[in-house]
Amino acid sequence: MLERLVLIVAAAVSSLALTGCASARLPLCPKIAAVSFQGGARTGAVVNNYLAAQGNERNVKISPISAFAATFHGSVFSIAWFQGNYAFMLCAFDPKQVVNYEAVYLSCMSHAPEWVKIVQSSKPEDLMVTQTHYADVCIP
Amino acid sequence: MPTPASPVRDVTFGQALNLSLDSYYDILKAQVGGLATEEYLQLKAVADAIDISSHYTWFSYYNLLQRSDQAIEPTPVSGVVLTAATDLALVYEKFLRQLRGYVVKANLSADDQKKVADLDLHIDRLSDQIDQYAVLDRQTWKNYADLMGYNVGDSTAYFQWSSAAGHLRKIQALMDEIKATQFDRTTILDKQYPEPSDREIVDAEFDFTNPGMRLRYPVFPDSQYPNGNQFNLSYLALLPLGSTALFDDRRVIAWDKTLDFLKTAQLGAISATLDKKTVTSTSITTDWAGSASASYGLISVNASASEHTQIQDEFSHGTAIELSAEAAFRVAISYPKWFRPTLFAHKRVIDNIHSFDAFFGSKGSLLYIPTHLILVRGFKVVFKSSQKWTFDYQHKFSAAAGGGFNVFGIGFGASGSYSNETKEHTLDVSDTNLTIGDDVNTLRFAGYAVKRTTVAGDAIKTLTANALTSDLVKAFDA
Repeated sequence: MLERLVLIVAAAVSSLALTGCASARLPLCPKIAAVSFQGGARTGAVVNNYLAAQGNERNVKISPISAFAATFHGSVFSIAWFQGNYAFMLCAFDPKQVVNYEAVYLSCMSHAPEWVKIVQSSKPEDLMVTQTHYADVCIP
Repeated sequence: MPTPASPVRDVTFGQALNLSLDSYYDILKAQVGGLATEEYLQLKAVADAIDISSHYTWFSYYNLLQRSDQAIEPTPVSGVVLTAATDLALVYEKFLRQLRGYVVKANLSADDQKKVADLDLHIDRLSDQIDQYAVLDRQTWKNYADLMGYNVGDSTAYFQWSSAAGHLRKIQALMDEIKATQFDRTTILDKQYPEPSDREIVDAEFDFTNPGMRLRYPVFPDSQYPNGNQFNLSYLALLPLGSTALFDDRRVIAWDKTLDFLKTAQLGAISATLDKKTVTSTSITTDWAGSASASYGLISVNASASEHTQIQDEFSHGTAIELSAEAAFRVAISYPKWFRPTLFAHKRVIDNIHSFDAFFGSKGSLLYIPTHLILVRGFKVVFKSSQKWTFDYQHKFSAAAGGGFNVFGIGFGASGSYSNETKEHTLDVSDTNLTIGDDVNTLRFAGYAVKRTTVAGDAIKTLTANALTSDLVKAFDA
């Protein structure tokens, strides 16, 4: 009887985790987003091509709330996956379209975790503080 | 929505004549002297007039600089395929940055590499901001000065205007920040390197960023600045760094001819007739080998479809083109230490040649570098016909009417295309002769002598030779 109860509870928790929704606010990087598409820079793009592709694949809705941030809605697991891999997608681009791609990648990957924290903090305006290098990497 | 048809239409001259842009290319090549090994003549699809005068020395130098500091399209006629004209200095900076990347990776700690990347991108953004402010201020300040009756070079009025409506202070603050950031970057990069040739790359970048390599060039004729008569090398070097509405902060380039020479030299005068005796020429294709696949029009006009029909009908009766010019010559471009083409053959380039495809590949931005400007002074063309010219060419193509006549790339444009002391072109119809020509003092920028960078081809050949057996290489060569 107890075993059966444990199984039911476990199934319920697992089901909640699978079907439960979550959301997160995360930074966007328009300058890199513009060169994340194959076949040439796409002026005006704010959502990185790799982010959009993963959003489609994992059924996560990406809603830009400005040129610099977006909200992500999806399952708990999907949002957790996005948070865990976010820097890779934010800093993904077609290297053929970027001459100094090594510097861009280094700077973006090393600062992206900080940008995520700032956007989720109570002081999101700090994103543009010089020391974050967000403007250098992400503003077209 | 369909794209509207271009109003610029080609015109064919005569019937069964063997005339082409190659004929003009041959004449120009003969007049400006032979080409050295790996040197090519590149024509301009639109040979614009250069505003040069002894009354505004430094503005004249600025006009020459703008034509010299140009990355070269890898085509025999530039401007046929529309690509954004880019400063040679900007392309070279990107090359240096990529080359220095190999030095950084090989010699700096991971933390220092990240710091250098941050500083590079920060400098790039600050430079972009300055450029944006300078362009914006230049347009708005000129409009304001014209409206208020100020001289555009009046620095006192400009400072007052800028404090309220311009960005001069911001430009200077950004320039200060660039200097500080460059200092931080220099601190990291200025060290002993185990490989001495790596230091050569770092030094080349230091030279490139050295403020001493730059001058603030006036963007209007010197005479429009109240202190324009004081302009000299020291004066312009001592102006605050950074481009503004009044001055453009550019890396210095020098030339082997004086302004006086350009305006008065009697060198390479052209007097040629192209008619039925002219043999077919394919010299552009021959000289440029595989790069010249397009065919280039000889004459084009900006006219409506019905006007074009009339003009084409008249030009089909053409019998000869008499081409003349007071002078045609080349002006050698001399680059100070900020530009070091010897680095193109640096070991780190050779070892990573495929990574430099954007610079030295078949469409690379440094595949050709300009060595000389080709200038033509007092250009004139007489079109001879078997019939009288009846179309009102003066009314249609005078500068006041908007111009719009192009022959051999020399564009006879509207009044606006002639500035300051450059006089407008003239048209004359006399029975069976139609004459269109520049003033005898008008200088046209007809093209470049360019040098091909052979580093990629040589490096790939060496790599292939090293990878394959010598017998196999010989077999391919045979």
